Amino acid sequence: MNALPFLLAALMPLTLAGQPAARQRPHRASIGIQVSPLLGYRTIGTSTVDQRVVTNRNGLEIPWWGYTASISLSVPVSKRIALESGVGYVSRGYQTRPQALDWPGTVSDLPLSSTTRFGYHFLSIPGKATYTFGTGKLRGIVEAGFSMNVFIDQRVTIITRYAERETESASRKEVGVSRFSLFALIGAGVCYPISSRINVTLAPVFQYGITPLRPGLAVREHLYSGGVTIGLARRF
Amino acid sequence: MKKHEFNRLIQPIRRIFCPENRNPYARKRVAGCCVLVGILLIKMVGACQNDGLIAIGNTRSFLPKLSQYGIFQGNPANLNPSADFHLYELASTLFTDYAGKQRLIKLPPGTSLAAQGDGFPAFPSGTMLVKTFYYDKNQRDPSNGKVIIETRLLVKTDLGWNVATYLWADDQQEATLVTSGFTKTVNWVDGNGTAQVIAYHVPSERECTTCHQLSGDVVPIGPKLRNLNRPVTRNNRTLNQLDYLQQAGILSALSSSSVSALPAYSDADLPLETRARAYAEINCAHCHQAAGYAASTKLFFNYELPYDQTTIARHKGQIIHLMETGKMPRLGTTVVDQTGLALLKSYINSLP
Repeated sequence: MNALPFLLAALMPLTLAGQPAARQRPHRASIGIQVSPLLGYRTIGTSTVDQRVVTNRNGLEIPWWGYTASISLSVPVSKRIALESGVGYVSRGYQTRPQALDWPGTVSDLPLSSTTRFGYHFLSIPGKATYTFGTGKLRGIVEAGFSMNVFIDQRVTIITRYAERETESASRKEVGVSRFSLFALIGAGVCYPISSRINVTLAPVFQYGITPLRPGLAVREHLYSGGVTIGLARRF
Repeated sequence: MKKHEFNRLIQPIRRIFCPENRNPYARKRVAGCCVLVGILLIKMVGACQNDGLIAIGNTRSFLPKLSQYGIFQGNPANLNPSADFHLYELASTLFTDYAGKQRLIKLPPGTSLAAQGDGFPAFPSGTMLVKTFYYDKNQRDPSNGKVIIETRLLVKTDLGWNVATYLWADDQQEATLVTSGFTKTVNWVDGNGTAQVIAYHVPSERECTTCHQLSGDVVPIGPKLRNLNRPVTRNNRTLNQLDYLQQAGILSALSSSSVSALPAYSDADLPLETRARAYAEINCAHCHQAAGYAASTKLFFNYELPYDQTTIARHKGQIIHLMETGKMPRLGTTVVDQTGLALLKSYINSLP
């Protein structure tokens, strides 16, 4: 997947800095919390030397659910535009298809299949601009920006399936993944006031890792995720 | 969307790009903002290249298929080494998710290893070290066959050591060069008859060189003379491996009795401290030494280092915690070595 469209989309908020200096601030800053289930996956580039790895992984791996939870501060810069930043926790990744397990025939109570989940956990610091449009109570919002992700750890979980039960085991590693990664984010949704100070937002958001997950490798891997952000914001 | 609504939506963008709408002050602000954000982005992207690993590039290229090196003869799945490749074994071995390992060495014709104390011998340029990782499908009955996962090569040139990893195909007839790492599901029946399933990780080049380095130079980990100084069985005869290597013309003349021996940590008859220090030497010391990846921790596990200089005493709780949680070793494993953990726990609990 080409990162350029996402980069351009994420750079769009920069244009907001060109607003006239004499701004009116009809709205006050607000603080909010957001949660979002995410469906995550990755792109991997082609590589001559590691073509077998690319082929194997593309044949094996499928999207998997993650989530994000964050708190944010939104500062209006005009009637319709607000800049927003905060801090959050993101879990995103992907998994393998269930793989049938082959065993020597002499042992009983053996697992039938397994799935491996690759979860990457980050501290995220987004910086985005939100444009509100429409009139009335239900308003539309468009948001775009970046999210700086600080790598916390990578968790590889094996789910082993027996005939009548399932077991899980996980391992954690803290190296091998870029300590900082940059994600472009774009989203659009609706905003609705449930009281004079409190707004609820619902916005599908898409994030794409502009920088590779693991630097310096022939196979360049970029995480991406899409989800619906549910937010609650309270104006000061 | 009506036209006036659309115009209002894109008004901020028009202010930037349309001269008639552009505010001169805003223009300067935009320019300044863009420069600042650009610098910030470049700095951030630069920081994104840090993955906590030490990448040391190869000074030679590797062939795409393992078979091109002629390491095995006959059916490759049997791992039967060709005449130029000699088997060697270590007294204490690195834990790699319970994988079995076959170690081979090939030297250029007319050369041999020269002893340098009891550490690494001097390897001539052209030396090839071959390590193949496999799992017996049923460890209680090896006749069920094995699954070969990967073969790692360390090849020395005049400029130093080079690393490569080859991933075996499912039909076990060929292995292909991989540089970016790969995670593969592996299953086997262990010695207790329990089914094991793990996500075995074939390392990337960057991961290889992080552990296989001292002061920025790639080095082997296992084949120090003291770790080769152990009995082996060759041609139905048990003899000291250093003697065997001399007889095979691989090692220059020396007296095996003049070389210290690293104990086998698996030997339960040996004292606890000896076993634990031997385990730490081969599983931890390649990073935890003065010139290693983890030098900054000041926690050193070299076997030859007196206990007082290791700082183990100051890190007792931390060592156990990091091993129990699987955070150590940082690379090369995906499951906790329960036997090794129990050994180190016993040792650390025995310390004053």
